[in-house]
Amino acid sequence: MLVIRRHEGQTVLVGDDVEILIIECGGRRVKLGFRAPRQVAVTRGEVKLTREQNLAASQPVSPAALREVGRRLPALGAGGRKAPGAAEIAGLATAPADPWAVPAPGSSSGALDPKPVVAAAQAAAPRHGISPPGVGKP
Amino acid sequence: MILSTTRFGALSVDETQSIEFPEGLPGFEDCRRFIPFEHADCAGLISLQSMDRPDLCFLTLPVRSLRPDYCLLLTPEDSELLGLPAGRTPRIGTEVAAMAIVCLREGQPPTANLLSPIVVRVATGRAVQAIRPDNRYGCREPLVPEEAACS
Repeated sequence: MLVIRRHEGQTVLVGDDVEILIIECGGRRVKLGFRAPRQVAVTRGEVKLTREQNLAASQPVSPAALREVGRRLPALGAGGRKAPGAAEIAGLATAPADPWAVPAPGSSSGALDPKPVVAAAQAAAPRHGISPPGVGKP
Repeated sequence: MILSTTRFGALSVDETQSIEFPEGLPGFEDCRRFIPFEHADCAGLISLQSMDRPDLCFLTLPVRSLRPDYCLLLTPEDSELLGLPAGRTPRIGTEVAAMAIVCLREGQPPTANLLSPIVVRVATGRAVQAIRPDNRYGCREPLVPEEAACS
């Protein structure tokens, strides 16, 4: 990796078209300005990471992978660590059973038991009282 | 309305209860409206089904079910998109809901993106994927923190 030391107000050029200006250096942060052709995308590194992660997460889920989450979910809610966040999404409806989320053969059904719609948060914040999506006529 | 989905078939949904991402999500900038609902067969797991793309459905978990001490850190831009004053952290549970997108990959433990939680303002249904300006959490965190030390 090329490393260059610069002061505030100085610039770095990447190729002929891209100019990076060091606007301000603070104790822990720097402020940069970019001049680049419109077709050159300038994004923060975390945005790229998030985009890649979103794309990976959007892939269809295999039954085995969903079972794996189902297996770990009881651990999240058990042992006095009942998920406090579970009640934060007010008024969530319950989806019809996911056809892909078949419990593993021989596994306890407790791990994937249906759960009633969160009611406590509904009372606190009624805005997102999503009516339960029901399976429509095909 | 009846929403056609790849995963759940035809769903009857109340579209006034959708959540809206004014700028979409990174990688899915055109997908702005989603319907959140809880899974009948996986307690705590929340699906975000796109209303724009039948095949797009994210699995999420509330951030505090993963890390009970999770605190949000919003950029001024994300606060503005949510219609919240900048510089003040909204309360999870009353003002906003915060969920992490779960990534399931074959043969690998599931991970959650705690770097970029989905933040929904409860009062308006406005949502952003709020990428944290710090590096306290990663985008591929194990669902249970102990796993990192044990495995």
